Amino acid sequence: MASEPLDSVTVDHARSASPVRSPTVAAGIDPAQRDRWRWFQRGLPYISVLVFLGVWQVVGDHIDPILLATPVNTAKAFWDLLTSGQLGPAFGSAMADLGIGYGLAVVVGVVVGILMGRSRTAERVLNPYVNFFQATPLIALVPLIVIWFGVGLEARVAVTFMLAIWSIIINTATGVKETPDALIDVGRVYKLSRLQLVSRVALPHAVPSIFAGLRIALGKALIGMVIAQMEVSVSGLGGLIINYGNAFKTAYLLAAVFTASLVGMIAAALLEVLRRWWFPWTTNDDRNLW
Amino acid sequence: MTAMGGARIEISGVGKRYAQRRNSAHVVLQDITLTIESGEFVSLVGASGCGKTTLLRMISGLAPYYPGTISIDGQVVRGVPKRVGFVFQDAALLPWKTVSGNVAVGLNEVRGSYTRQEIAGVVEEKLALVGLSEHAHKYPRQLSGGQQQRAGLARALVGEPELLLMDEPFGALDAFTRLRLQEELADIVERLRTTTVFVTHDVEEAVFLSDRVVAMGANPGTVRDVVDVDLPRPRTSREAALNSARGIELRENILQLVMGTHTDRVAH
Repeated sequence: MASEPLDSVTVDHARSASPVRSPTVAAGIDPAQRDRWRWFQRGLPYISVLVFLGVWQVVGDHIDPILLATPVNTAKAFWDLLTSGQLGPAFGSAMADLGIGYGLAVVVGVVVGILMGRSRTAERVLNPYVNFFQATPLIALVPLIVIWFGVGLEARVAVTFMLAIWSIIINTATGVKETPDALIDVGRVYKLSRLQLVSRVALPHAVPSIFAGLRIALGKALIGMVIAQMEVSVSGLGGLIINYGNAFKTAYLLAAVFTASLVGMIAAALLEVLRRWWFPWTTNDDRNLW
Repeated sequence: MTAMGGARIEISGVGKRYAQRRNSAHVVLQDITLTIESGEFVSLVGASGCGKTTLLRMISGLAPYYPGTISIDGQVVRGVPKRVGFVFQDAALLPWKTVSGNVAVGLNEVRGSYTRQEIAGVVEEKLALVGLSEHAHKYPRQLSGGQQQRAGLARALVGEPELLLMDEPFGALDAFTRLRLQEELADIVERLRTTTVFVTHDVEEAVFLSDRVVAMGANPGTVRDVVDVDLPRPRTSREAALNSARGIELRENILQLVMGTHTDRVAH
């Protein structure tokens, strides 16, 4: 039996080859073919990217370099930025602005969110402001922030903070508020104090919601950081983007843009690591969409 | 296994109403007067809406603000009394804690006076009592409904409570698991003799487990009668207890009380 070629498999073959039929074989599908298909499926994202890069390169070669820089030229520009010492500080300042602004938003946002989730009074008092800012296109507030905070680090941090915090507040409040009454009852029956009810029941329950809020807020913080680095001061990555854009040096522009993407990807990965480490029982689905 | 003492509960003239629109009120309980002796197992039986769960929650301190008084061992209930174990209808385990962690929550009141080893020891002991020793490190979502309820029971018992309150604990389980857990609970109750108040709509369950059964009626919630279940203890077999002549008589009597079709010709 083992020497028979498997390019056409009948059910009889399968039955005589082993006493237990796999579902694949039972359906008449050749296992080797199935494996090849699986490898193809897994490779699709990489194949797709390679094809895209190829097309991009070819198109870029035949088009005005100001309109579109080829992948090769973008890579060269990136290397140049890196080695000439421009990229390092820009990257660093981007991470710093993002880190400080987002970090502050997380701390303040979670605290305010818990407050609003647990206290009806706090919720009623603060709701108008939260709703107002959630509805406003926050970028419109940048000039105001410049007037208040100037054009330095504080102002950029303020912009990042301002864009990020509302999603965190809303998602935290929702998560805390949705704590099932049964779990609160459990806490009360077993004599948890009011503080313990928050820290040991409501908060752990709210963690998935909070993380959904954190993920959304990170995206917004990233936007805030880049805008701040373009509008508040012309510095860091945002500065590189604006300057190279104004100079029509598209390859360098794209290189800076990709660096910004890198910042975003690193931050998201860090958030994910944190989530898996501290809250291993949570999953990745977003439960709220603001 | 030490037999625990039990609280004595006195309920006097207690009622509960919820305000509704247009100045009308929904009367959930009216004029409930009842005494539950130390170490007794008493069931509250009735159809949905008779207020049995509400009464249980009032005894537990979870539902304050009512006319009348409830006292435990002579002390009026204000907030959650000391050393109460409560088993909820759907286990209500904390999903982010393991089974052991959840059971340990039952010790929260006395946490300060135990070392970590002592806590672990008591938790293990109670898990063995309910048959969950092998699942100590699992999370609630990995357990079946019956196993979750056992964990809830272990959590209620771990603090050696003076008063055990159970709100339809087997209601959400399939019939086979329910029967099995009833017999296991009867065994545990036999050993521990804690004062227990057990809410159910299942008359047979009540008769099998209880010393006395409080038959309640709805709209408004009142005590129709309190029936002595004088079946012999220990109650090891559901068959023997429920299908004895006396068992059948009691079931019929209580069922009629609850359904409101009781006539005087059935003696109790």
